[in-house]
Amino acid sequence: MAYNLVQKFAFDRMEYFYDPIGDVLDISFGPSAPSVALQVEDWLAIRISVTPPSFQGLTIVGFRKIFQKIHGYVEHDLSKRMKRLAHTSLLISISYDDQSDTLIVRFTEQLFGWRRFVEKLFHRARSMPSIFERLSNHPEDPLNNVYVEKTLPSKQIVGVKILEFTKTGPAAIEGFLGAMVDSIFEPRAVQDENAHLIANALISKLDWPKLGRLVA
Amino acid sequence: MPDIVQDPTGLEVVLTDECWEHIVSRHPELLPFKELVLEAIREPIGIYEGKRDPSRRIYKKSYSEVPGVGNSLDVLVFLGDDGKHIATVYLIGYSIRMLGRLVWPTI
Repeated sequence: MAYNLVQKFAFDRMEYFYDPIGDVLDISFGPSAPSVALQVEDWLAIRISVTPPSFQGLTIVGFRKIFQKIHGYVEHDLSKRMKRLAHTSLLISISYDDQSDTLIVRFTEQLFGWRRFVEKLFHRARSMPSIFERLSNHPEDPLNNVYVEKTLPSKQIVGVKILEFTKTGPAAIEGFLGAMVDSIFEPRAVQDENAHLIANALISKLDWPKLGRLVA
Repeated sequence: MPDIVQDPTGLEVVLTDECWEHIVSRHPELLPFKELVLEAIREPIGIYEGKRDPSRRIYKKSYSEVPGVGNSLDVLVFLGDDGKHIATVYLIGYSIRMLGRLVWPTI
């Protein structure tokens, strides 16, 4: 059995709701829908809609405090990212192959308008070689089976691969999300570099100027 | 009219109408379950301090079924920085990491 799930995140449909009194930020992709959360840590929940199952959004409790700690990741190239963001959507594909018991998650940015035309025109030229790096080399670590895919030479994160998924998948996903959180709060964690890059790649998609205005 | 309920430590917690409207606008699955939220304050299975923000109190209560939403879900209620008003509420199906320090029941 093999499957491939694809979900598209169009950033023009992303909505932020910030409650400055409770210091709670809700981020939704599209209108609010009944959902159940996956609690990553007590300040961060990933909301999954009940029907049909899909990524509904994030809830960050204590956002002002968290925001102050992680804002620095994207500050230096903020304007460039924001200009690009308005013309971009993110396609996330999740593939599982039972022959190799491997789960692959890939992130692909899609461009709109003339940028998409240019992308298609030069598609071959834009194809980049990539490498897989193990997230942890410790034999007892569940992250031992997690690999991040990076383009060369820019080393941009474009995907994640988990081997022996039926055996180690849940622990690997837990470890992986935990490593991302640690890369924000405890930057000396063992698997910091790749976890930091992934966290940065996701964080960089947020509209920081708008968030800044919301919490001001 | 705000709801005021007392938790097992004697703390009075306030849920204002405005806050409830905000919560259900972002988490529509909770609309029929206001009493369940208040019950999580009155009779939680645990009260925690936030791991990254120890000033924030979190109430947890488990339910074997939440009709129309799912089975084996936990309600998490977060207080605001004032330690009195409810800031947000949601249902969780799975928790990757433990909540912060358990403050009630005391061991």
